[in-house]
This record gives sequence, structure tokens and C-alpha cells, in this order.
Amino acid sequence: MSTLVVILLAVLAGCDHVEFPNQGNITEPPDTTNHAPVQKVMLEEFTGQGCGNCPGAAVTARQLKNIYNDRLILVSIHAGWFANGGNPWVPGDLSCAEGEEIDQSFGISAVGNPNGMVNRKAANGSVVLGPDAWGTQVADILDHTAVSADIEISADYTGETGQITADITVSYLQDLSGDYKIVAAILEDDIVAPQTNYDGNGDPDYNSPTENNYPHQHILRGHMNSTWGSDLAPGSVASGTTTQVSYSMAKGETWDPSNLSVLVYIYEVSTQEILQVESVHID
Amino acid sequence: MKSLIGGCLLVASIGICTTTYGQENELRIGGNTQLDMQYYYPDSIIGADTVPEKMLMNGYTNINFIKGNWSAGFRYEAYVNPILGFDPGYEGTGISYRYVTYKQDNIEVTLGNFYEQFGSGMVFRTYEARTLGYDNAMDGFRIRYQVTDGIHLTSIWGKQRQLWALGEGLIRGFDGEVMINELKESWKDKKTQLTLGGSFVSKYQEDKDPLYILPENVGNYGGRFNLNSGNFNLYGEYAEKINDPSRDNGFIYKDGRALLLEATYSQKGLGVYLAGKMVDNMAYRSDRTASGNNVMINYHPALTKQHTYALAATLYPYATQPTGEMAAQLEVAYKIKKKSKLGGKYGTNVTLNLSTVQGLDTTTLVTNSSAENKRLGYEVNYFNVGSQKYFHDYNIEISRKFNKHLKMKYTYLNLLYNMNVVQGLQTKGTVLTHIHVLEATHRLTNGHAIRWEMQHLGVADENKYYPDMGNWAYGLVEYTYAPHWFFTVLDQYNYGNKDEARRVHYFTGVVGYMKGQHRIQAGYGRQRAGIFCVGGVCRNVPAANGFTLSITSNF
Repeated sequence: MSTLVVILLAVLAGCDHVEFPNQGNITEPPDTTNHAPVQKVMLEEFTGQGCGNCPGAAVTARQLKNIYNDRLILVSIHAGWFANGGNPWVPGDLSCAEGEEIDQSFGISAVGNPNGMVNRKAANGSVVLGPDAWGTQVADILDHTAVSADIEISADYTGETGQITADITVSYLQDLSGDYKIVAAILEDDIVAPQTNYDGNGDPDYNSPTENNYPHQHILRGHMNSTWGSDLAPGSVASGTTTQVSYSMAKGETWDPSNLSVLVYIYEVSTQEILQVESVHID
Repeated sequence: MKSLIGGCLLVASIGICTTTYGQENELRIGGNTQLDMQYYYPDSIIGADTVPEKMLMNGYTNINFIKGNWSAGFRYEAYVNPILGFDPGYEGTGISYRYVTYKQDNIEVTLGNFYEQFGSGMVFRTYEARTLGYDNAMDGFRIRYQVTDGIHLTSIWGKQRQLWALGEGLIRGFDGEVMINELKESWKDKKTQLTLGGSFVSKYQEDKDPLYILPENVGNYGGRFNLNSGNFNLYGEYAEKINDPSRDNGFIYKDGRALLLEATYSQKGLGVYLAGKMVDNMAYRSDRTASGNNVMINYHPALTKQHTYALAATLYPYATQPTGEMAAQLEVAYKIKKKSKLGGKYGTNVTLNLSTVQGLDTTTLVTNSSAENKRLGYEVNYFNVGSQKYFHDYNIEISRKFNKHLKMKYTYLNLLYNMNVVQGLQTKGTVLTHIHVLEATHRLTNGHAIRWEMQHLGVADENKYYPDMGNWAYGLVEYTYAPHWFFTVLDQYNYGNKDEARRVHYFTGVVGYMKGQHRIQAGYGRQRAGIFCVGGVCRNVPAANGFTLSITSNF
């Protein structure tokens, strides 16, 4: 009987009423001052210019970026119905072939947008996560992952040739087993173009239902070494090993060279999980 | 003896009970097993994809032991690989369920896995529905304590099964039930019997979200009563849940509540059931990010009739919406007297069943798009019904035995189904169908019997309603040679599909053999894509073409 009373009391204590859901202005210090390698996380937002609820998700991503600074790398992938053809009320198309292939492979726009992936790591059996689950997944990965590789990128654009080049050095900080691939891609910021923006789930700073001058950020423009990248470390690799690779590609006609970045990430082939990610602005 | 019966009831809850009284200390072992296999051929016209493994199999075996005050058991499951339509996360083999129970006098303790239900389940219900791939078994401990005659207390503590792992959240719960009439000797034989109950369940899940303060402990509590007087019975239950932002509700911080009232009246030849319920934001899982049928802590009884005829049961069955709905159901079962003009020689049974489900009347609280406002959710006018209709099923069933050899049954359903709400689709609409079913059983001599069914589903008023796949016709003939054999052939024909290429037949043939506690059934044919529901909880059944084999056995 006494056990039951103890259990009853414990159970009755089990309620947390939350009056103000927002955490407030909690920020973690940026890691830019510390040159020691740190684990970083990639949040891929799947969106489209015709997706009226997606600007609200972009707000969530921005709030997370404000907290995690350089440890969180955002990528916007325009793909699927909302990005092409299915959005007659918004002109334009910011999709690219590689983004479409990733979208189809993970079945993201098939589920509906806004949705995303955080390091392509599953939570509850699904890699496709709604915006409300992004923060928890970012926090969980950063809390529980010891940094195992470091990526350094030197990126350059030559106006005369129209070529973007990236020299990449990967240093392994732990002994790793598994097959790893490396992907280098181009992101573009500040593309001003129309965006559907619904009242309620959109971005309240912009016009609704359509914002003609929406600044699209970190848009995936294309990959330098194919959608699924190049072999980096098949089998296993020892801590302390370094690998250097270089890629180049022609700048797209409409891309503004002053707004471009090179994004590089390493993933394990069987799990498809991202091991490490980095991005640098092109000089 | 008491403990033996208790053990038997416990074991029965997971599928088997072999009862021989009077041998309390003898070790008794019982169990059951089932194997379902399916061989798949690709069939693009019905949407059956290529299955790389070609053959898939689900299987399980329960083994239970009872000796004296002790009982124990386990279940071995194998999904190699899971049959299409079941969560692919089940892939694998292993012991998914094991428990030990000790019962002495008025206390019973279970360690390991168990299923439990408080009241109707609105606060807590863990159960297994194998045909749905649903299993939210607890893993932890449970104590049942009978304080005195008529007062029962139950407490539970543990985590829930999630496929082959345990869900992230922790569950603690308590339930008390008092049968008032049992408290005093002179009340025991009163015509009016009253039972009162109350439950409290709390789940804990760590908050890792950097943007929002998520409640880590979420309580769900409720009270219930059952009043029985002669032919009349009234059951009522109310539950409330505190703020529980989750994937189900779009991470809003609104409280949830649910109310259920059920009244039944029965006398010879007449049964009346009337029920109503309101559910508002009551999805409750031990992991706030879970989806599908995973780690649900509670259950909301379905107030819609569960049909068995194929066209009525698996094309547009209603799935309970725990995020919000208002539902009502009336059923009147009447037997027209035998040897009367209308009733015929053996009497005629008429069952009228009306159920309807609407959305809630809500007003969103979002005044602007600030993140905080978005999380507040909505307000509900509980005294009104929402304008959006989710479902209705108005059906009548008339069955009559004509003579020793012939029994017939006619059923009509007027069924409305909002695909966008119930299936979560955005681009479909509401379907209204008229379904007619005629069934007859001819008993021949020496255990031979023939049963046939004719069914028709017609979609109504295409200008007003979504036609979906259009009209269907269905025919079935079953020949039984008791006690061992049965043979069934059936065809479903989607003759009204707007896409002429999809006006296809779904032929299926099944043969079954039963002996004692064993049954083997083999089939070949096309399986139509549909939805399979038990008690308002559903799973998709994908289209398939091929062989099926099913073996069940009790031992």
C-alpha cells in the first residue's frame, strides 16, 4: 500500500504548465574565435517559391542560426511541386537537378513542405522532419556527437574563365570505419525573387499572400561533383590522416559571384548521415 | 483458485488461456502461433510495385507458463521482411514481449511487458492489434491492489514499445475504481449499481529544443462513472490533458479535453445504444515527435460501426481523429416477433445504425504570425458543432431465417467520407456512397453449406462530391464442408472508374483447412488497395497480386 501512495504522489507531481513557450534570447557563444575543429550540422530546408508556409519555416531556421551561429549551416533546396510547374501564381524556378534528385531520393516534397533534414539523421525512424522538430534534432546532434573530421575549404572565382574552384582538405580526428563520400556544392544568398507567403504560417516581415521581393538565402545552385559526390574514404581511415581534393565548375549565368559560397559535406554511404559540413564564402 | 483464474485472465489478454482447474501447482504451458506469407507479382495496373524479396513474411509465437501464483511468458516475432502495409521498421526478429507476474491474496505484480487500460482508454490504453501492426506494450512494472471488496487500484510505470526499441518517453500512471455497491453488504443486491473511477497518467520526455520551452512532464487525467439499473446502463468519462506540443497538434500549447457518454437499453427483442463524444487536442504519445501508430498512450473509442463486408469495410472506413472531432451514434436493434406477419416463422432482425462525425467549432488564436502566437493554438466553442463534416454512416441491416436451410441478410449503407481530413490528403474531397449488400447462407446436408454475397458501391452526385474511384461491384461464393474445409472465390470489379484502364477485376480464390486448434489457409489473386481499421485505428493496405499463405495454431 505504501508503494502505491508513493507512486500516486509521484504521478500527481508530473505536470509542467508552460505559460511562455519561447526560450527568449538564449544564444550560445559563436565558435569562430576558437580555431579548434568543432562538429557542425547541416539543416536542409526543402521549399519552393509557391510554398506559402515555407517562409515561416525559414524564420525557424534563422532563429536556430542565431543560436548556433557557425555550428549550423543552412541550405535551401527548391524542389518538387512547389518549386516548379505547380506554382503558377509565382513566376520563377530556383530549383536545380541535384536538389530535385535529393528531394526525390528522400521523398521530401512527396510528404509536403515545409520539411527538412538535419544531417540526414533520422528521428523517430524518419529523416524527414517538420520545422518544429529541427531545433531538437540540431541540439541532440551537437550534444552527442564528438567531432571526427575537419574540413578546410579554399574557394575562388575567376571572372575571366567563369570558373569556381574549391581546394578542400579533410583531416580525420578519429579512426573511422565505413564508406565515406564528399560532396561540394554552390549556395547563393540574397536572390531577390517572388515568394508565396501565407498569413499565419509565413514570414510576418513580408507581404502576404505574395512577396515580390523576397530575399532567398543559401539557395542550392548546383553540385561540383555530382549529386551523391565522390569517394573519399572507402573502408576505414585512421585518425590523423589527411585527404586533399579539388573541384571546379562553371558559374551559372544568373548567379551573382559576390553572393556565392562553397558548401562541402562528408557523409557515410550506408546510413547517408552527414559526418561533417563546412561552407565558405567565395572570394 | 483465485490466483489461477487471475493468471488465466492475464494470459488471456495476450492470446491464450488453457484452463484446468484444481491443479494449482502444476506447471502448465500454452501458446499460439501465426505465420502469414505473401508472394508478390508486380501488377502495374492496380499499382502493385515490384517487391525485390518477392516473398515477405510476418510471424509470431506466444508461449505462456503458469505455476501456482506465478505466470510468465514471452512472444517471439519475425518480420522477414515485413509484409507490405506494415511499418518497415518492424524488419527483424526477436523477443518483443516478456513478463513475469506474481499474484497473492489481493496484490498482483507484473514485471516486464504488459497491456493495460484505464476506463475507456482516453487517459491510458496499451494494447496489441496484430492485424494493424499496432503494439504499444508497456515495459516496466504494474501493481494491482484490491484494497477491499469493490476498491481496485492499479499503478503502472515504464516505457512503451516502439517497433524494436522503446519510445523515448517515460510513463507513470495510476487508476482507482470503486464499485459503490460492493462497499456495503446491504447494497450488493440493489437493482441500481454504481461504479466510479479516476485515472492520472504523466509522461516525461526531455526538452532539447533550443527555441521553445517544451513541457517535459505532461499529465492526462480523467474521471468516469458507470450506472446500471435494470435494463438501462449509462457510462460517462471526462479527461483533460495539459499543454502537450507535439507533431500531432502542430506543436501548440493548448490544453486538451475529451468527453464520452454512452447509454444502452436492452430488453428481449430490443436493444438501443446512444452515444456522443467530443475530443479536442487529445493525441497523447510518449514521444512528442512520433507519428503513425507509434507510442500512443491513450485511445479514443470509435463511435462508428465497424463493418465486415469488403466494400463497406476497407474503402472508406473512418479513422478516429484524436486532434479534434465531435461524434454521435445511435443503434437500434429490434427483432420482429416470430410467427408474425412481418417476422415470418423464425422472426426477423432489424438493426438501424446512424453515426456522424463533425469537426470542432474552432477560432484560431493567431492574430499575427509571431512564433509565440502561433503556438497558442485555437479556442473551441464546445456548445456548437464545427461546420466541417468528417464522416457519416447511416445503415440498416435486415436479417431473416426463412427455413432450416436458408438465411438471408440485406444491408444498406449511406456513407459519407471526407478524404482530406480522414486520410490527411489535400487534393481529394468528400465521397458520398450508397452501398447495398445481399448475403445468403444455404445449409445443405451433412455439413455442406454455401454462402454468397453480392455487394455494390455507387458514388453519388459527382457534381457535389468527389467521385474517387467510382462504382464497384463485388461477388463472393463460399463453400464450406464442415468441420475441415472451406473454399472461397470472390471478385471485385471497379467498373465505374473514370480511368478506363483501371476498370479492372480483382479475382481472388482462397482455400482453408481446419483441424482442432490448427488452421491453414492459402489464397491467390489480387488484393485491392484499401484501408484496414480496428476500433477507429487504421493502416493502409497496398495493392498486391500473388499467393498468400496463413497458418495459425493454438497449443
